[in-house]
Amino acid sequence: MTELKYVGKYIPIHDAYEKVKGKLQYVADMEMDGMLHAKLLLSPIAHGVIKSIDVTKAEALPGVVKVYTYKNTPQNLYNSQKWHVGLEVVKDERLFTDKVRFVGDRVAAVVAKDKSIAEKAIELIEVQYQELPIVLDPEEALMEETIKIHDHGNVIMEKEISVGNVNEAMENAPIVVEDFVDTQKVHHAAMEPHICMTAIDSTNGLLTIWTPCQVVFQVRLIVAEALGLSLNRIRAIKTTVGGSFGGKGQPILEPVCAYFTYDLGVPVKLQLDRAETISSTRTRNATIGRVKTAVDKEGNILARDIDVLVDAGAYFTNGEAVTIAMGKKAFRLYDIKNQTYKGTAVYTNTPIAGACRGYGSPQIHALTEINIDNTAKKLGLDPVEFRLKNLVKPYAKDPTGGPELGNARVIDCLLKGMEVFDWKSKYNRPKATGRFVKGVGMACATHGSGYYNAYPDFITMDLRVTEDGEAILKASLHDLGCGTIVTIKQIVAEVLDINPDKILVPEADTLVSPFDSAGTQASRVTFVCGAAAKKTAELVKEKFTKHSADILKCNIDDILYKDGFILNKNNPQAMVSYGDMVMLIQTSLKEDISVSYTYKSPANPAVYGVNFAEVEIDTYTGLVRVIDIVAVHDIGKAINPVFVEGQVQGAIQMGIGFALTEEIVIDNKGNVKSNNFSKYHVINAPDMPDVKVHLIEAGEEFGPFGAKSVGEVSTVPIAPAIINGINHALDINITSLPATPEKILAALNNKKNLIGG
Amino acid sequence: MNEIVIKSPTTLKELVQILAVADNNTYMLSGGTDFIIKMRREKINNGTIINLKDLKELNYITNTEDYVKIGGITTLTEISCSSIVDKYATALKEATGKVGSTQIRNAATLAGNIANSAPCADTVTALMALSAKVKIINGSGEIYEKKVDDIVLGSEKNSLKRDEVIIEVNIPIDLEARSSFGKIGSRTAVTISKLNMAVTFKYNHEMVINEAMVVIGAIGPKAFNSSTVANSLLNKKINTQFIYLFEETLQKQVDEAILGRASHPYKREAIRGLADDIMKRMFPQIMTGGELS
Repeated sequence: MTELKYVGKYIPIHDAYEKVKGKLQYVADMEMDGMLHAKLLLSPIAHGVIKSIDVTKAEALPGVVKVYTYKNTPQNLYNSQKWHVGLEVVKDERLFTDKVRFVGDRVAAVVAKDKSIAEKAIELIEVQYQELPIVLDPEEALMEETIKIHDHGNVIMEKEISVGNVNEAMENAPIVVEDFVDTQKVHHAAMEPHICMTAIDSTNGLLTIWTPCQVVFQVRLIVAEALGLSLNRIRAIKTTVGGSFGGKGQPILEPVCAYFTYDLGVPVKLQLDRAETISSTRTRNATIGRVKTAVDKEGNILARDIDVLVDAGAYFTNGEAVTIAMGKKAFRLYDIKNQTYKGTAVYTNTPIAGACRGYGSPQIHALTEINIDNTAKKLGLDPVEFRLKNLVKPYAKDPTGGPELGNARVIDCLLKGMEVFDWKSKYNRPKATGRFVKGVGMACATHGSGYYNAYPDFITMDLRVTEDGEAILKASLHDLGCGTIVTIKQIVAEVLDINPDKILVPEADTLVSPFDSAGTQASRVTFVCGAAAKKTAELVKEKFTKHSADILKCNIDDILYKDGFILNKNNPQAMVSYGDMVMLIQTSLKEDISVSYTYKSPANPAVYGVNFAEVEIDTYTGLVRVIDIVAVHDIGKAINPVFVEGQVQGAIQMGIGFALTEEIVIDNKGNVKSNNFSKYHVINAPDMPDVKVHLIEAGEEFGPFGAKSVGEVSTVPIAPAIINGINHALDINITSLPATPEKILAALNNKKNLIGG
Repeated sequence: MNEIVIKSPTTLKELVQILAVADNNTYMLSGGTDFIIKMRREKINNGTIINLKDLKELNYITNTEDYVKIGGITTLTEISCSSIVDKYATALKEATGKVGSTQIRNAATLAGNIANSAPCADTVTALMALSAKVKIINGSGEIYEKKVDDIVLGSEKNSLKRDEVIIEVNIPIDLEARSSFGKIGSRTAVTISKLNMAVTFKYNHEMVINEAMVVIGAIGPKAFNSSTVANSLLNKKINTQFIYLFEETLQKQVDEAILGRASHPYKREAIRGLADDIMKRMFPQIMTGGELS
């Protein structure tokens, strides 16, 4: 392979300068003439029917333009998760509801001349509820038949995935280890709370939506469904986003705000504050899991049985998809011949769940990887050795018939991490007996690279070389701060041999971007959209070569590209710049050096991550400090290694919070207690450990330059690695996330009592 | 009519004039780190806000032979960096250095933290252990002293009248006493105390305690001075065994204070961590043993 000029190098993110200088416009900074401001009235109770709403006082407040409730808004049902038109899902959301199902459900909204008037008017809306009994606990939701959150019952779905004969293998197994692990609801904690701005564009009459979203075509679809409009009347523009992590994947404010503009004909902005964002947008699904693993005495896994109950919250959204996604992962990390996964999702009167970085993987791996350690312990094996016996090897088959695993390099990751972390000596060193005790833990994880084999996974790109020798790529791309735009530029630059600075890659806008089937979801962007960019660039180059050969009157094979020039290798003195060549081709051949290409992803290879964590626990206070992390990722090829490291560092920060401190705490009335950052504790800089990132770059067949995903898998292994470290240090069995000081001290006390008694 | 009027006196004389007409809708603004949140939460949109930050004459830390004097608008950062406070009121230095974030400490004031009277206020615990008093000025121009303990009623309530402002905090200097403060939150920094504690000990050359003050915060509506714990430490020698006694009596005190509450099982354990932290910081040579790091 020839040496790469742009791929594999660090180029800063495209808007770094503007971000640092505060010049970049977020939706919160955008202003329009005559713009109105909306404020939502959210339900203060967890379950009830609205008996009456009196908005007269609110409407009488000077400056209030209109008050909206279920009475004067479309009641079309939709499901905000639906990102492509063919997706069959239960539709149970509406712009405004007449039956509230969680504290935070949308009851009404005020649109007013300014924000403070809207806030005051909200207080003047009088709502009477007929309160209904509530179901907060998913296990209760499973049993409860009389309290129905939705008419179709509380159980959303049940799904079983099975291979081999689990029962038989379990019965004959010498050792079976069972664990129960529960995971909590967490908030995405993007810096930017949810926001949206809408207007009728006077130049074309389109209902235009500016939103920091992940999928513009999903925004367009949901707005069209909710408002009953044709797709062509709506334009969605992706704006700079202050973080998303899945939280802005589903259009939440967009249909609501768009309706105000549709109804009033003027620009409207709708912005949530932190408390509203935590309680009324989306959360990670909470889960209650049970797992049984059967092994022989040598440590080979004979069978595994997994049962997960998923809390979808008050509305369906992706309850089904995430439950299935969790299950699929269980078959792609270890070579297990007999395995059953049963997933059940239920409604509860709690905040709505949705996509959250990892999409079920952090939950399922917390369950299985804690259990893997406990199984190793039962066998008396080093947990690394136990994993090595059972991890999948490159090109292993998914036993369920799922997409090919591809060049699965989890074992390489494990061996590399083991060495860098000095696992053996740390794992085997004597435990301290004083107040502060150190331990080490590790975990492995897998995730996908797109939607191939599950949902439509294609993107159309439109690439053109301009008359001045630059290039423009039109595609529905959403940079969520991870460096997508630069990554795509690097790929195109490499193929066309054009400096990335000379390639214009605007972000997604449904009016100008060609169609994309799925947006920035499912860790698909570099693998699928990057491959699309590469293929499109190759086609452009092919066309450029063919026409250049005509111009230079030589064979295609004689054409050489060199430093922005094209030449005939038999006549190297006659160099023509890209721009001049485009002009010559236009003039002589009446041809345009552009290609519009629809790339269909042909694969969905597994990616792997292995984390090693050293923790120190204060046995007096139960506080855990993560002191060292080694994160090794099977990435195929890093297009921009610094972006990859950034992704991993951030993912570790999220994962430590998931393991130790972050939790949407809900009281017995359904109120969110931790609804701001004084009570919702993310890991901040003083508590961040040193994170050493290592990459295994063994290449993946269908990835651009061998690349596959890293954005989501990077936040998966960290939580079980930390929990395993705590359990290793203290010889306890924490199986409930987050591992708060309270839970750790209770477990220590329990151990003391057991030993004492 | 909804209207907020902001008054920014620059001298105590001007302040008194403004206080003279203070009513139930008059609010004191100091660092604003609690008030702005309160304003939003309680939807305060009319009344008078007296901005105390322009009273430059109240920005000082000095000491006489008997007292450390801290002006009302002195920030927590200034206090935590003060060598005077470090020398004569160590617990306050430690407490002010652990409140919120750097940004909060740069704005927040000691007087404001007292007046806000949150159950978990770190500085109140330290000030109580230091027997601090505050100097108050009222709308008649009268200046008088009260104990911090008497100002703080707890649960965000204080005993200050509408026309009263804390203009100075006085901490008695006792060269024979040593103090320290510790807290436990959910993480290392930028965290609200789940539990905090400050102690003042006086002991003789044989390390035998002859006076003690132990104040525990965040286990009730306000920090409280535990004479039970303090008395149990009297005439005890500070050595490696001392810590066990101290922890045990603290645990009993927590049992007494909050038995039955959901937070009790955790706090009765975690208070040992505070005792250990404080003793190790005050007597690093004596309190060895146990830690392996």
